Amino acid sequence: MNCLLCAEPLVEEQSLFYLLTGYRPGKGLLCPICLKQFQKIGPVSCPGCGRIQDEWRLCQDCERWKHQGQALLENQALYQYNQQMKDYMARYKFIGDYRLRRVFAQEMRGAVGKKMQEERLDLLVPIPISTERMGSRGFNQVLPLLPKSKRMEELLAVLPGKRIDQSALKRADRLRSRQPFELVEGAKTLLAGRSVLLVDDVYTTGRTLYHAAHLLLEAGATRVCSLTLAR
Amino acid sequence: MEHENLYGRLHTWPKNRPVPEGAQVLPVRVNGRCFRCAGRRKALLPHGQSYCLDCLMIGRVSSLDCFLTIPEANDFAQLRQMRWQGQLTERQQEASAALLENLKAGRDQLLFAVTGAGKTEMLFPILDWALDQRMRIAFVAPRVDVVLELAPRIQAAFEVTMQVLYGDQVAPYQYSQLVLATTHQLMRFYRAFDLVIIDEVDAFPYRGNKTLERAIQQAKKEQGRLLWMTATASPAMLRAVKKQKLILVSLPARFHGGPLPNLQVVYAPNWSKRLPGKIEKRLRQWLKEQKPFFVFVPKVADLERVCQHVQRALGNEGKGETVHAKDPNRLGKVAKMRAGDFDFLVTTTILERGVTLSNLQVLILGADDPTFTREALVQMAGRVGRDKNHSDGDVLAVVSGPSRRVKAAQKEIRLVNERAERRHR
Repeated sequence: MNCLLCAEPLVEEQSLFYLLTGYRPGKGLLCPICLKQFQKIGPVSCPGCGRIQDEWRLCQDCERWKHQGQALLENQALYQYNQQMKDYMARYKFIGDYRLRRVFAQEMRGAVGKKMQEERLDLLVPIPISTERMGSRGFNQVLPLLPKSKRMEELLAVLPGKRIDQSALKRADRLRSRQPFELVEGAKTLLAGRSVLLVDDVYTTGRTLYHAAHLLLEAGATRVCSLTLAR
Repeated sequence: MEHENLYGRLHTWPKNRPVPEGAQVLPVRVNGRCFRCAGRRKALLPHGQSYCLDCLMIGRVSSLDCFLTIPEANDFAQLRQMRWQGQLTERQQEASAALLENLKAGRDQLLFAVTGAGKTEMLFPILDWALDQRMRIAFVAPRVDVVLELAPRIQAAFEVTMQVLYGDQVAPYQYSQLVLATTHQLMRFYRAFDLVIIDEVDAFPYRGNKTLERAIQQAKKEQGRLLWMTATASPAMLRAVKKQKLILVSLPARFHGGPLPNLQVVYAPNWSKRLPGKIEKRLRQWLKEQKPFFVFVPKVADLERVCQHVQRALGNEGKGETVHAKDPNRLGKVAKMRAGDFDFLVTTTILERGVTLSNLQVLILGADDPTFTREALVQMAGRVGRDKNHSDGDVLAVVSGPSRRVKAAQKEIRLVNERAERRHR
């Protein structure tokens, strides 16, 4: 096997950690050098969007969302969206190397499960991709990151002709973008009086997630918070 | 999608998008093999779909896609005159004429010429004729450095539409009569070229790579011709010559007539800990005489340490850097070396070929390491003395013990020089 990112041959390292726990993060997929370049987000972060910072208070962007009267998503993110994570996303999503889902799947599933339980959330909703994108990419990059759960419901769909992939846009354009989602049939009855966890791969400006949250809250959800792999 | 951008291409296209008018649709897999690379390995996607793992590095081809192509139309404007005004030596002219004759006769051929023989210049008359015949031509080399060095030389010599293609490129593809590319890029073509020129056949990653060999066959037209070039012919190539599948054109002498400098072996088992005094002295001498030099090391991990050793040996007066294949600044550093901003570069095998610097000297550390093949060692020696005014130089090979590969390389260089001399008389 070679590392899926840098193509160097993988040497199975015998670490004490592995011997004791039998757990190897992203086992057999990436080399230690590539793995090391992913930066975890530590205990202190912005309570609104989950970005890494020194103090436990809202960052400027979240202050702006609050000012606009949005209920904050209290996003939790596991990793920083650094160059390594960008490269990873480029391979996983844009080139479409589906094998790479396994690098973070276990960790994300654990985090999602934990958050659902701790915050007593009723529903788990992934951010969807358009049918057009599905036709060329062949998978929704968020789904492999979710645990098997009865509370998982794909309640959102992308409006026909809309694109939610905003990575080609500049920040200002992204923030101006219109609602790209609609609710699937029967979503309203499920949502009334429920709390929801939204899951996406990356939180960049928050625009996508806030659009989704807005729809869910409008349909009667009591609370919407989110979790992403990277911020 | 412009029509001409599909001429002779294999363009990946999602099945759920309408096919542009006039384009032919080709399948992505035939008999369980990828149509593009003939690989069998695949990875699964949800809903029973899959994608090819063997050519993933040049873009994903999945069962959700098809290939688009339009047969090559050779739709080029007539070319104006060759701008190159240089003169070939008598021997270069001879070889060049032989190549042209074989091409006109429609034969595949192998140009076996020592490093520094002036292969590129010898090709100019052939390119001139082929371009004039409205042939579509691919000129491929295994490494991006080689391609990027060739590009300006060819662009300066010909008035022709030319595209340079390599892996991490951002510029979009455009139809052109002349395509300069790394070998992998040929996988994106389908029966496009009337002539494919393959440089540095003996180099990694081409050697023994079935996928790339097949890519070449697929990228040329069925009647297209191949011209292989090498400085160290592999036994398989020479066998093909014997069976008369290939015509051999050989040119053993360097263009200035001087010999290829041979490896001077220095034994130093612990070179990675400290450089031998003899070598340090020589480095200082090179610096004093303002001769730039390359230091080759076997592994990326050796680079930093060796660079520090070299700096120390030069009393911190020399300017230099390390370069390796994954270095994001790789091309910039080589350009700086070329501009004379650096006195030396510490590098792995990536710079072993295709780089021409005036009055360059070479130090190979750990020449007995298995990463350095016989061909690589000959190529590294070939970096030296590529200039009329500085036709000689030093190639120092530091080894930790006697090595068969180093001996073989020395023997090869000796043979080449002998052959050149015999011709000369």
